[in-house]
Amino acid sequence: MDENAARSSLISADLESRLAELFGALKKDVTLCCLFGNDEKSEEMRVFAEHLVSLSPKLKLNSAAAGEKPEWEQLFGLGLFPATGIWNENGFCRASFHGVPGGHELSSFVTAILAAGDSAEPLDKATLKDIAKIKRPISVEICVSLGCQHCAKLVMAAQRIAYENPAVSAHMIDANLYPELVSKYQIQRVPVVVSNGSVLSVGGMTLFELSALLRKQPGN
Amino acid sequence: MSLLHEQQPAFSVWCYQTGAFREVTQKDLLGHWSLLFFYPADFTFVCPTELKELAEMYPSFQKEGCEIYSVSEDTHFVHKAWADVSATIRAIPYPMLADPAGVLARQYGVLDEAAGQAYRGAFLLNPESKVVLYEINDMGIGRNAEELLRKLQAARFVAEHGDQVCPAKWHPGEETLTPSLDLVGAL
Repeated sequence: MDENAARSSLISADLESRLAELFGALKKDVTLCCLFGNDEKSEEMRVFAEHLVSLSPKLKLNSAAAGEKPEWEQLFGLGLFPATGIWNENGFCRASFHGVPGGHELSSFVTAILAAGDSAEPLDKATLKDIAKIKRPISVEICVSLGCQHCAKLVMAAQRIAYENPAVSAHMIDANLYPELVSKYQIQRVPVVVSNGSVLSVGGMTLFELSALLRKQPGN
Repeated sequence: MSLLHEQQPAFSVWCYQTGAFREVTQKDLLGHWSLLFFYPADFTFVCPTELKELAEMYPSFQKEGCEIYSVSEDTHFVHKAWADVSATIRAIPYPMLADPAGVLARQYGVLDEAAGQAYRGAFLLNPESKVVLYEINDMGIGRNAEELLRKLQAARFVAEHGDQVCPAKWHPGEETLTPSLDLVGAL
C-alpha cells in the first residue's frame, strides 16, 4: 500500500484491510477510468479512487476532466459526472458508476472490479447460454439510492451480464445526484432500470430475471 | 392487536350515494382496493373538511382502482338529510355507509361506545378485502387525503412488485453514505 496515497473518509481502516484482501485475488490488472467534472462529488470520487487503487498493485487509475476524453464519454460518460468506467487489458468491461459508490454500491463496485480482474466465480453454463441470447446491443442504466440493498444486487447482476455479453453495457447511477433524471423518469422507488430513454422495470430482480427481461426487448 | 392482514368479515349496511340509497355488503368490497374512512358523526364541522378533501381527490383514488367508503354511526337517512342541507356533502361522489348498529366500527375497533361515534379511522383494504394499512386518530385529529393516496399507491406497488424495492427519499446535497461491503453470493 502506498503510504502517501490519498485517504478517503469513506474507507475505514477495517474496510481498507478487507478490500486489500479482496483485491489480493485479482488475476489481471484493472483500471478505473474516471471522468471528473468541477463539482464536489467529482473531487470526493477522485480521493476515493486514489485511495482504492493504493490498496493493490493490480489496480490503476486513469482520469480525465470533462471534455478531455470524448471516447470515454461516448462509452460510459452518459453526460453525468463523476463517471467511472471499469477497464482491463481487453478494454472497457462495459460497467460504469455515476456518482460515488458508497453505501451498498461499494459491493457492486468491488464486484465489478473483481470480475474485470478475472476473480469472480464462473457462472453455470445454462446461465451463460441465456445471457448469450441477448444479441441486440443494449445499454442498461440502473438508477439507485445508495441505501437500497436491492439496488446493489441488481447492479451486480446487470454488470455481470454485461461482463459476459459484449452486446450489453450496465451503468450504475446514484439518482440522488441527478435530480433531472429523477424528474424525467418520475423515480419514487428504486432500483429503476432505464434503457434508451425508457423505464424498463422498477424493483429488484435476480440475474436470471434481468437476463430474461433483456432477451425480451424489441429487436432481440 | 394489529388489524393488518385481517379479512373483512361479513356485513350488510345501507349507504347513501348521490341521492340514492342502496345496500352494501362485504362482497362489494372484493375485486378492488377499498378505503374505509370512519368519521364521528354527520352535521359536524371537521368532518366535512376531510370528506370534501376526499371528494376532491376521488378521481385520483379511482385511477388507482380504489373505491372510497365513508362510514359514520348515523343512518342513511341522516346522510341524506345532511346532503339536503349541505352543498359540500351533496357533491360527495363516493358511497357514505350508515353504521347505526356499530357493526363496522366494532369490527375495526374504532367505536367510542359511550358516545356511539367512530374515531377517525382510515383502513385500506386490498382487492381480497384484507387490511394492508390503517390509521386511527382521536376525535379532533384530521387525516390527510393526499397522504392516504400516497400510501395507496405504495400498497398497490408492493402488491404488484413484491418487496424488492426501496422507497426513494431524495435529499440533494446529501453526504455519500458510508460504504458497506456485502459480497455474500455476489462473487
